[in-house]
Amino acid sequence: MTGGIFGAISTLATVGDPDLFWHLAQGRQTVTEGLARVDAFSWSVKGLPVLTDQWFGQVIWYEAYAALGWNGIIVLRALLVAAIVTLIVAAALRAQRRPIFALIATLPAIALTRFAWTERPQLMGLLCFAVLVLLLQASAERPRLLMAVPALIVVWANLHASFALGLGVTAIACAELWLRRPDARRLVVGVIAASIAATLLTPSGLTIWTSASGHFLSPPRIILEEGVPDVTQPYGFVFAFIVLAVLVTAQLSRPTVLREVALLVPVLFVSMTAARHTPFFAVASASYLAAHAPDAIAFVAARFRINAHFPAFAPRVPPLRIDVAMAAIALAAVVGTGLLARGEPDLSAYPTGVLSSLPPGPGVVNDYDWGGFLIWYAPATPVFIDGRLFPYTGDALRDYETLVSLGPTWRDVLARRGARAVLVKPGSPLAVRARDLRWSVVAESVSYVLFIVPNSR
Amino acid sequence: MASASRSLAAAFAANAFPIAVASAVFIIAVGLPSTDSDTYWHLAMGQWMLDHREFLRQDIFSSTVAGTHFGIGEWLGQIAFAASFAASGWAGVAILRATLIALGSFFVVRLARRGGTPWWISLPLVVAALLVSKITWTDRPLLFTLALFPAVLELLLSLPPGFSRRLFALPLIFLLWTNLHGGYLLGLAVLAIFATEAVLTNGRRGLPLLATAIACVAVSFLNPAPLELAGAAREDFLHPPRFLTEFLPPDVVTPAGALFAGFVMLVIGSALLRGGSLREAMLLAPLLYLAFTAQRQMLFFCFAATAFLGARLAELAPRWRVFEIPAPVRAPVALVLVIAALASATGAPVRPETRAYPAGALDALRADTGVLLNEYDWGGYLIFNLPERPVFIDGRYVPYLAGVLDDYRAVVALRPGWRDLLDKYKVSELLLRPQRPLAVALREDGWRVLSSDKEGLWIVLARP
Repeated sequence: MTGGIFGAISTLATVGDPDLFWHLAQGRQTVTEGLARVDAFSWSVKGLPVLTDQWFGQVIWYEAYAALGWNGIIVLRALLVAAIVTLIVAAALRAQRRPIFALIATLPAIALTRFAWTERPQLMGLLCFAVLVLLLQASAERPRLLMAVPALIVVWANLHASFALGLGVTAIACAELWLRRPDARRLVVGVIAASIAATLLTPSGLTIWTSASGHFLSPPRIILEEGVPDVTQPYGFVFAFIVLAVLVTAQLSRPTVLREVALLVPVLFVSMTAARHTPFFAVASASYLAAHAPDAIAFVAARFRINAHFPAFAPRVPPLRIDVAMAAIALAAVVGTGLLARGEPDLSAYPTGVLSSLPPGPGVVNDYDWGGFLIWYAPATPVFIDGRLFPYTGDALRDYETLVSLGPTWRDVLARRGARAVLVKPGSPLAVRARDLRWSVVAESVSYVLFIVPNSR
Repeated sequence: MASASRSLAAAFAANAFPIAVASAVFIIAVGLPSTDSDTYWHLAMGQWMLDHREFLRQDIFSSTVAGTHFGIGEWLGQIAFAASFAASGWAGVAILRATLIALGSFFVVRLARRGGTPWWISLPLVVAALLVSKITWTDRPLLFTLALFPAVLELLLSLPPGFSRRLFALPLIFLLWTNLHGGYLLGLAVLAIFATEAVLTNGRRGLPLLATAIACVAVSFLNPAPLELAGAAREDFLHPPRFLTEFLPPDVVTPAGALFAGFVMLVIGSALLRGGSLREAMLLAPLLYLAFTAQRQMLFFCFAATAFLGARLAELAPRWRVFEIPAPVRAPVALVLVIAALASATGAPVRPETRAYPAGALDALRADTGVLLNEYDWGGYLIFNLPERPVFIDGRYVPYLAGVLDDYRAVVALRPGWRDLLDKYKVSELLLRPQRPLAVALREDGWRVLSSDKEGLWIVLARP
């Protein structure tokens, strides 16, 4: 029910993530023409290899769009959010029998996942992680449940590059099980081997690790969400709150088992690598906080001589048909609100007014943030760069940075690339310089300006 | 006399391990040349105060905020650095720096050795904590905080419940600290945490520490500008200037960030397995939040964490706990290292490392007297080495918050209105990195290149 509520709430957010559009375009391309292994959307890296690591996620997003239009995107996002929240709460309820405590303990985690409620395969990766956490938790009593992990990894590896975290966490959990249960060692070896093999069951083969290692070991800091977690931002504050809550709870409550430490500590490190990874620790730690935070609160209350008696009731488990009915109601609420939501994307951050003025064919240097938008809305004008990032790493990205930051060789880059037009934000150094030099303006507003490059062919 | 020397020898033997580590750290630190751009303006301010025998209360170094009131909260720290420079030049600065870092290291080792933690656990912790702190090994008053923070922490952790004569040391320390560097506010926060915990845990027996904390707050007002540092610290905490590397959030894919992450994971992981205490939670949680705000704050969490991690890690490996260096070995090793440290002071660098600065531009800049627009990072260097040309901006940062900093950032990044800003400040010359959009645009617009270097580090441009 909690999942349904948050899923329904998520439908209030309009569609508009910059990366959604190129994911949709790639999904459409896969569905209509088959999986493309080289770039077809840009003129700067046209024909060069592209990553195919999120193909399945892109297809699902596109099919949702094809079926229900933009409301399909909202419904799918709401279902994913509902599922993630449900799994977080379920994990917390396994650790804490008092529902109200479990719910309160999960609220920071739910709040932090809010920053990942985007219309991208990334959200599916977070769902897979929440499933894995629940599986690992349940496997403490029933190790054979680990046999489901390779199947999860197969799906995950085709959805999003965060599968690497899943594999790492699985390996650590298996190592702990190896130490604790000698009778389960054959199972452990089988699960790890099958999980590793599962990562290769994708169209990308070994190159599936390119994106994963790039994100985790060398996050591209020029992208905001790949930046270091910043506690002066709302998401960073919530993340810090969760880390501090775990720290204080660990200090003041009873010690926990090695299995929990083996999950929390590595995930904490991964979460500290980049802003977009912070929800992983929130999801992983929710059940620990649910189980232990009440003890820590009671300890502090006792020091302040506050008489805090927490009720120790165990709620009656409802019959299965009640559960099914509640789930059906929640599902109906999520789908219903998704269908009724304002479907049209919020394009206020994009240069919608420029579409009719864009010259067709290659030669337009565009702002990075608008690449995906142009791929979807102006397919006749290939982009110079977009949010896919990795295909551009190297010369194209370097040239883009030289141009937009007006590096000393910016004119050479323009000439060498054969740029015909420039579509950038009016405050960028390139736009300011172009205006200084009285380049011809084709279209402009307070948020964009399109220049024609003088003497271009 | 014999008794005094015996007790000195006993104290040396008891502290042989911290002394040995501190001496080794001194040897490393004293050999490093001065590199930080803020060193220069701190030295310039200290020198001015020494020369004029009065506090420097207003800006005299810039063309943009000249005459405006400027904080003097770190006056004693600046004078200490200026005096060491006056005494022995750059070697004096290096010796003062190494002394302060060694002092901090001494107390960090004592923190890590609490509870009889064996050397093979405490030493890696200390080395890791010091490597995290390396980002602050700059010749600035901040080094006094690097030394005093672990000293105060060690003192607080060693206090018995109730009254102790050692409590009298705290107001004296804070009287000194409050005039040396703004980090005394962090010290006061830590003291308040200990006082609160003492009252919560020990009731009336915590009152002496509470009274001492109140006294320390009172003495912190005994400086020429008691509230200015608090304002600057608040600004750093709530709105850290992210364009400065040391104020960026911790990045765990860098070496120092990875070590910091290691501390966080060790603290949380070991607490999950073994539990902790109210004092540890009250101390480490705020310090961890502070560390998350900026890289330069990471060291405080790591220093404090060593005090608890050592003992807890030793608990996890009880069978190895007995593996300790014998006392007859520790003391001679420490003595040798102390002698080596004293000898290493003679090899302190006599000049700073200036490869990151526009040393070759100074001659070209001396020829003009108009308004010079300079790179932020080079402001301190110019203040010290080219005092006749007021700077546009420099690392003092706070005086420029009223608008100059925003204007500077807009003009060098070629934001809309950049020409108006050049006219507003009547800029006649620029000393910039050639890659700056402003430098690129002005060269195209015909500004004269007065000077530049082959490596592409700097360029001097003048109006046509």
